[in-house]
Amino acid sequence: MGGAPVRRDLALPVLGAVVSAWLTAGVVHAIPRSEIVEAAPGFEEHPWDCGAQNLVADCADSSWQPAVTAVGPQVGLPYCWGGWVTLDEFDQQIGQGYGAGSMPYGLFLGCTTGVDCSGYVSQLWQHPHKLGTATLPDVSFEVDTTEMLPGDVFNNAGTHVIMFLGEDSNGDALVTESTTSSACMGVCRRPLPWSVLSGYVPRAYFYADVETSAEAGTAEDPILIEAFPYRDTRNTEGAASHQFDFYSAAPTTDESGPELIYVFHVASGGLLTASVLDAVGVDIDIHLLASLDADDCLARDDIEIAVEITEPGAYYLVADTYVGGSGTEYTGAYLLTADFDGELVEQPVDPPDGGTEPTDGGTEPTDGGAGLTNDGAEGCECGWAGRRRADPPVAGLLWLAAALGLARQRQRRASSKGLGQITS
Amino acid sequence: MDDPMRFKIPGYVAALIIGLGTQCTSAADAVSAESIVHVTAVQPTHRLVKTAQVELAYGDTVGTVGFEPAGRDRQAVGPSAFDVDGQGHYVVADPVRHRLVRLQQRSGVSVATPLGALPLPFSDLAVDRDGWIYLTDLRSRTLTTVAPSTTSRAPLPGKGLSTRFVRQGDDVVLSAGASSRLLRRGVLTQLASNVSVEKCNAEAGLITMAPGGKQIQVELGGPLASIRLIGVNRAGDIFVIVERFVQRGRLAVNRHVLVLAATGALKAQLQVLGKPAIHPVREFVLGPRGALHRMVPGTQGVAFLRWEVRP
Repeated sequence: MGGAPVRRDLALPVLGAVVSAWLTAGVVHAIPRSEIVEAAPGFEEHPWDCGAQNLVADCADSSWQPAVTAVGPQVGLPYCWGGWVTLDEFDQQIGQGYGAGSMPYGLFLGCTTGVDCSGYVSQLWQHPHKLGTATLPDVSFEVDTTEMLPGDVFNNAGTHVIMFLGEDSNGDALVTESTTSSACMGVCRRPLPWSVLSGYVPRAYFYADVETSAEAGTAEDPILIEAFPYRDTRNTEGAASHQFDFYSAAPTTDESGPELIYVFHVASGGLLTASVLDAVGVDIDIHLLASLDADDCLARDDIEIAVEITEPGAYYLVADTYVGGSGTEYTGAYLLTADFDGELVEQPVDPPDGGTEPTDGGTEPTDGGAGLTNDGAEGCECGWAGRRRADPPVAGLLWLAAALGLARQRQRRASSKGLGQITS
Repeated sequence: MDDPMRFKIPGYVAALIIGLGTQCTSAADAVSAESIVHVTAVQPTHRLVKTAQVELAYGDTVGTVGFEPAGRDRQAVGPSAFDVDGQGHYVVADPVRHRLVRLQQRSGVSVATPLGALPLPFSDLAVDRDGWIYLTDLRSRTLTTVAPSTTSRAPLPGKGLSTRFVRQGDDVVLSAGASSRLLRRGVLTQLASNVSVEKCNAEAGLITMAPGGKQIQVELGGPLASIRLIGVNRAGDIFVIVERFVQRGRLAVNRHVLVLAATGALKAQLQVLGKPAIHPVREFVLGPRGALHRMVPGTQGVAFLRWEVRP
């Protein structure tokens, strides 16, 4: 089955912000949800001893308040505004006499230790730098409460963030958080009434692992996209398919590295948007094919494509590895997100030999862009032939047109589904 | 959002369907399988009438309750739990000033009587009929008992996360998942049957109640977010607070307090307006005389509201 038929309204990320974060702050890795959830008790139940030296903070003024009120054995990391430490760092700093936490009434102090709400979430997500509640939306997307999974968060930008773990038998949200609440004074797990979460936005981490499928992602066994919005995290390293090396849309761009092939079956026209995100040192490009032929490339891009599909049939998204001039294959993990506002064929017929298109009530898929309009581009030319390698003026115009199309689409989606505004 | 109970089934008669199968299970350990009743909640037959409102100023001086405005992360902190003692006075946990206080009004003047230090962190508070105070701390898994002259600490029973104080008649019960313990003068006694409510089906708004010895399914209307037990009065009426989703993107949730008869029939309901600036651990309390109390910490003071069930 196809990767992860995404459960929810997908707000595409602000790619610039994400890429910028990668470039400046290290590599983001996909993380299994189980790892996120299993890491929480380590912070909630971390045993440590508060000494008298931890109830003072040399660098703080009289307004400083520790998150611990008494010397002695403690459980769980204390709340520390601006704090973002691992358990080892915390133990080390407590041993060095750092103040035990800091209630958020002053500036971030360098002589106190613990985690604040977003620092805690950053640690659980294993994000390479500290997120804030205002920057957290750059690495997450909005979801619906009915489809929240453990490891997702409730975020209130500029205020607080809380990680969702599930529901208790009353239906209260079971959460883990670092909070100044008197019930916690730091990291703890507890059930919260949903009304307390009014105004918060449920969000899922981009890189939280999703289900993997049995499909190989080859032409013979493509990954079936059964529903949109769609989201899938995979790795081209070791991928079985080496079918496509150069695509008609960018015939000089070497994509001879391994690729993963996805298929979806369209019943009616609509706008397809797809993006692929990868980390520093990895270069996966996104391609849309009208058939399993590199000459049938409808659009390609380093990051994002937008194509208006008007004819029913089978279409293929290919996440392919770019190969540099030195022959280096930039394989690695990527996150594919895609959305389509038309209708899909409910029960597609499998291709008999992996190379021909399935039929939809006798309708044959079109070839080479007939019936297709590239959002801002002509024929089967790609929306943008790559930020690094395209002819800049043409690419810029094409990208601008595609981006405008995406923006309109996002706006329409946001207004129709009540999504929050996408900020940059 | 429309009140779902007003359009589910018209009329004033609860539809009782005996013996319906259930997809829900109850945590109650004293449920007999042969007594499953399905109830569709309909129009209430009683009202919750507001009978008192007391407002007290914030501060740390005599007669006030401590409060700190929101810090840099905008998490305001203030009085976070309360209960009503046998004299009708409010006992308030004031974590900002690390103290327990008894609040009352004398001739229109707020008077706060210190009751000792409040151990931090703490999770919940209750006062029994004899004036003994109980505090739970889910983080250290302890139950602290504050008698007039002494304080003792003991491990909390149960798994902790679902541990709550619930008023049952004149008594305080420590509900810990499937088990309940009666609290009187600092002594915990295991109760034979547990009063519980659980969410069954969110979209249908189906809940399971186990008012001791039998299981009742009640259809309240959805989409249901949660249901929590506030307490049970002397007559056996069950006070619950129900949350329903209004909006699921940027979350919006409405709340109603429902009073359900032991049969599951809807007796009274009250829409809870507004979201407190501070999230109290214990916002609603059923007092020892059966009145419903709510603590509303605001930016200028803390208000205590009281309602009573009237035909």
